[in-house]
Amino acid sequence: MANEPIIRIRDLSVSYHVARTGNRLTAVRDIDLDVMEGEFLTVLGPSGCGKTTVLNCVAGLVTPTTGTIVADGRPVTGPGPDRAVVFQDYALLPWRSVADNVRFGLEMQPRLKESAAERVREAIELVGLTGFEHAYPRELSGGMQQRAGLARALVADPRILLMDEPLGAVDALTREVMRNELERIIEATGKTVVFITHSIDEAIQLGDRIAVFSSHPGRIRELVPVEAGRSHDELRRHLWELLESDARLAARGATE
Amino acid sequence: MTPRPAGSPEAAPAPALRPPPAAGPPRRKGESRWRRHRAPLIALVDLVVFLLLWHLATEVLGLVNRVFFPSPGDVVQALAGLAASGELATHLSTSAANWAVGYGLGSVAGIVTGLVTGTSRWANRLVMPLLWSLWATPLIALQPTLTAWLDYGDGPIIVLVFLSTMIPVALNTATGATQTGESLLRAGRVFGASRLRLYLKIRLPWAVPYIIGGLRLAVPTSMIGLLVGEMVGSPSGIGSVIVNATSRFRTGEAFAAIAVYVLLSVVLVRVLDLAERRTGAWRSGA
Repeated sequence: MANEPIIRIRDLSVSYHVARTGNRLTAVRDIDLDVMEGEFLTVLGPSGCGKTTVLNCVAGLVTPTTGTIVADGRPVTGPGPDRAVVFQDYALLPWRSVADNVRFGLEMQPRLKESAAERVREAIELVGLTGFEHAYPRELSGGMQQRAGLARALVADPRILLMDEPLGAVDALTREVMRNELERIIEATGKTVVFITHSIDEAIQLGDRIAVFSSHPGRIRELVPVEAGRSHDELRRHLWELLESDARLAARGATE
Repeated sequence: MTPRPAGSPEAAPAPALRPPPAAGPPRRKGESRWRRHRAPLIALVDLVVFLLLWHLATEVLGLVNRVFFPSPGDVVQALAGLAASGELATHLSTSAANWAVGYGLGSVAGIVTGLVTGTSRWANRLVMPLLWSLWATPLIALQPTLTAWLDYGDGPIIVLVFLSTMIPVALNTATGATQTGESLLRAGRVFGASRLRLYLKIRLPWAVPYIIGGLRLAVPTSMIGLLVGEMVGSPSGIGSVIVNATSRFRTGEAFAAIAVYVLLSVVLVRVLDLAERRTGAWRSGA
């Protein structure tokens, strides 16, 4: 791992104006976070803790109210080819086939025009969708749609992969398979990954480090390294202690 | 005319023009063939019975004066006469040219207006009330004014066809564009799409089924626009045939012109149905 962080977040706060109530809602406050090159950071937290907001800020989709984000050496002012996002709801274009959806990941980058066909083929092969190039998203299972979403994110070879609960919408069995698949694919590409999840097991299995969020307002509770020496059960217990009170509140339907 | 454009593309096609859905479980061959052809066969029988009753009432029983109400045979004869004299071709080509120009321009204007109104809140507030008011306006009311502005001839006809196409297309497109998936737009931005590209690559394809729904709805309305324009002070076109023939008590010719007009509308709607099924493949998963 290099010493210079590839993502550097400083004093990040995001607040929204809520039209209905006329109040300002603070989604996240005072986030400081460094992600190293090649690192797999999992982000764990209860619903509504603002983890997606942080991810969207890094992606350039949400403008921070205060604070700065530097990604790949440049301050983030909007989306860029160095960062790609895998969405929870896949966000595939339903009128495009798998191959055309994957191509969407690079067609706005003229410099990749010549290598496009080859890149699309490789990305589809990497995620295990060879043979389904001409299928439409709605003909595919959730797991396969997310493979297409992953191929689209990888096709232009970004340095940073932002994944917003990518397995949140697939069924439990597919989830197990996809978790291992993700591990294999990310290992093969060596990408830096920020991966949001609700699942403690997923966070432990995939992450080099786990950022545990707490809610109201969203902030980082603790950064937990996943060390080889620590047992899975012990880590699990520790994470649950950090999350328990927030999770119980969220389950009771606390206000956002 | 329906009071509002069909909102969802699923609701757009009239059920009578759709083949029945393919039978789920396998059935005996004869039965499935009957199911597949049931709807068009019923329509055909319907038409034949109607023509027979019409023939019976006019020619056999003589219930009405055939000068005012021709029989099916009279209409066919009049149509053959119009075709043989070359009149039909002349009038039809005038009508077709005026309709094509108005419908083409109206479609493009409607799609652009709809996309912009459906996505910009300000455009929506400014343009939508105007579009709905125009949709509620009987366009026939504009005809005298248009003639005063543009003189007799093709001008007012094209404008009427244009307006009666643009409004339903714009309203339907706007409905579709408003509902563009938020996450698709987010994905578009992530992968580097500019504002224009978001329109071309996401909003426009998303709205295609709605656009086709609007184009389909615009077939009868634009045909009404065409007819209204041609029936008042136009020397040529199918509409003028109807007016001129009626005023000379040649009702057979008038009916023949109406039949041609109906046939054209039905064929155009069918063509758009096919287009809808083609482009909507990703929706039905077929």
